[in-house]
Amino acid sequence: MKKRDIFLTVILVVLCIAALTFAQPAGVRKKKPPRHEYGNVVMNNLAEKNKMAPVVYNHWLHRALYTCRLCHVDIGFAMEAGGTKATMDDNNNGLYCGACHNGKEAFAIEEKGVPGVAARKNCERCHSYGQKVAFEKDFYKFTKGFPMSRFGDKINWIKTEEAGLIKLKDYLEGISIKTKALNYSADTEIKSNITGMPDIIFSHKKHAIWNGCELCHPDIFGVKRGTTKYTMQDIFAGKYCGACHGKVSFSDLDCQECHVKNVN
Amino acid sequence: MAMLSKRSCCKNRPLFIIYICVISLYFSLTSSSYANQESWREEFNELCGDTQKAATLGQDDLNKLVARCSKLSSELEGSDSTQKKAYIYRTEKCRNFYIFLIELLETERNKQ
Ligand code: HEC
Ligand code: HEC
Ligand code: HEC
Ligand code: HEC
Ligand code: HEC
Ligand code: HEC
Repeated sequence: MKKRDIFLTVILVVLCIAALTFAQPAGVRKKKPPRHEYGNVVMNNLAEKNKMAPVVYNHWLHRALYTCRLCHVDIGFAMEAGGTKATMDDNNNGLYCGACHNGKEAFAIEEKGVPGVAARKNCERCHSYGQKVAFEKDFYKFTKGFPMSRFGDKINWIKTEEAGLIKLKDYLEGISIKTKALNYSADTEIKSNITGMPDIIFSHKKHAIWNGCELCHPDIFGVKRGTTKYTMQDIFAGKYCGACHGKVSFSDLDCQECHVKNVN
Repeated sequence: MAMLSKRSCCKNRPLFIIYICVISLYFSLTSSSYANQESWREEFNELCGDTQKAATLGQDDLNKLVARCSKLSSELEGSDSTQKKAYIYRTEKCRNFYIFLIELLETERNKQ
């Protein structure tokens, strides 16, 4: 055998072992989407029925600009693909996508004062499923230089924010409630380490700032704790921590991000 | 001239009064519905604006908040606001959060 072949064989074996170990905890290996599609949501309650291509919403761009809280608490987007049941009338009334896509905060749904088809040039930027659309923002250009992680979109969003590469907006005029723009105060701090999960890294305070309380309680974390213990299977199935991790936040395959002790 | 204009004014007085009435009715109606919209928004802001402080509240306060949320939800349900869909959803979310806190307090008490 040539030296190069030995080298290649070794690499192959290492890759196989790596793939197996990653696949094991989930039981079935999940089909991994390409980086730029991680966190994408297709919305199609009404679109195709009304002869429009389904809507593709991307998290990578929006989460680089806004907190989860702003959209999932203040604007009221459900934490479930298709759960919001937004309509075009809602959008035009300044709700949901229309809370921002109004020509001021972000590109308008329909350009005002432009004649004919030109006014509708933005339709396809949202109604893009299966279409060939020239987007303004490209994932790979946009995230160039962002600190990396191992799975999912492979962006380490926390480090990206800490490095000042993105600045998240948490307040939207007319939508967010004035009295509370970002005044999370220390006196309301709750225990940051959750009792009963001693070896789990979880900052209650940080999660509350990103997400707001009512996003997690009671829908994702009810009062059941103590009677039911949640397992990794639950999390891989999209419950508890898995309601976000593995869908939009860093992947549930990144074991040591949550586990203090080595669980592999 | 002066006499003439005075006379025409007197002649048209009933019409003029009706006109004033219609105008003021219009304004009172629009401003009251405007005030209504403002009042649900204010109530909403008060109820859901500071959920993160709610963990420090006692059960009585939480119960009152839940009751006010339920009231607001059904008010919104009956209104014809184009915003009601999103705001009912948001009100229900914070109401459920208060209920979660009440239930936590109850489990704590049962443990003791
Ligand atoms: C900012 C994103 C966005 C833009 C821009 C946009 N839409 Fe939509 N549209 C949506 C969403 C979200 C839905 C709901 C999708 C679903 O669940 O089917 C929707 C639904 C629809 C529907 C389904 C019926 C209904 O009333 O909801 C039609 C028709 C439609 N859009 C037409 C258009 C047209 C025409 C344009 C351009 C003038 C346009 N949309 C631009 C986001 C957008
Ligand atoms: C600009 C608004 C916006 C921001 C910011 C945002 N989301 Fe979303 N999110 C949405 C929309 C829209 C949907 C789709 C809802 C629907 O289909 O009804 C969604 C859906 C989701 C889902 C369900 C996905 C699925 O496949 O079922 C999760 C989980 C989620 N978001 C988590 C997050 C997290 C975590 C953050 C912050 C890191 C975040 N979102 C930030 C708008 C947003
Ligand atoms: C909180 C504000 C906000 C909400 C809510 C929001 N967007 Fe956006 N969106 C933005 C901003 C800001 C940009 C980037 C600036 C721009 O392109 O105008 C953007 C960009 C986009 C792009 C990229 C277009 C391109 O050409 O690169 C798409 C697609 C998009 N939004 C779809 C949606 C859809 C669909 C919804 C609703 C389900 C939605 N957005 C809700 C703020 C928002
Ligand atoms: C990312 C999700 C998340 C967010 C956001 C969040 N929590 Fe929690 N919360 C948890 C988890 C996980 C637990 C532990 C539950 C368990 O043990 O099952 C918890 C527990 C609690 C408890 C019980 C604590 C105890 O000692 O028994 C309270 C009270 C609480 N949260 C209040 C809040 C408040 C107030 C906010 C907003 C400031 C908030 N939570 C935001 C996930 C979250
Ligand atoms: C509502 C959505 C949501 C839920 C539920 C959630 N997280 Fe997160 N978590 C986030 C977001 C958003 C981030 C920011 C980083 C990212 O998106 O990748 C994050 C970051 C983290 C971090 C990194 C924190 C740091 O400072 O480096 C850890 C660790 C973590 N989560 C653990 C957990 C655990 C454990 C649970 C379950 C008990 C959980 N999360 C549930 C949304 C969530
Ligand atoms: C988003 C955070 C998160 C990630 C990522 C994560 N875990 Fe967990 N894991 C948890 C939580 C929370 C529990 C429950 C702990 C408890 O209840 O005490 C848990 C429990 C476990 C348990 C004990 C319970 C059971 O299901 O058997 C094992 C083993 C485990 N995890 C392995 C893994 C492995 C292997 C990975 C990587 C593939 C991983 N975890 C990734 C949060 C996470």
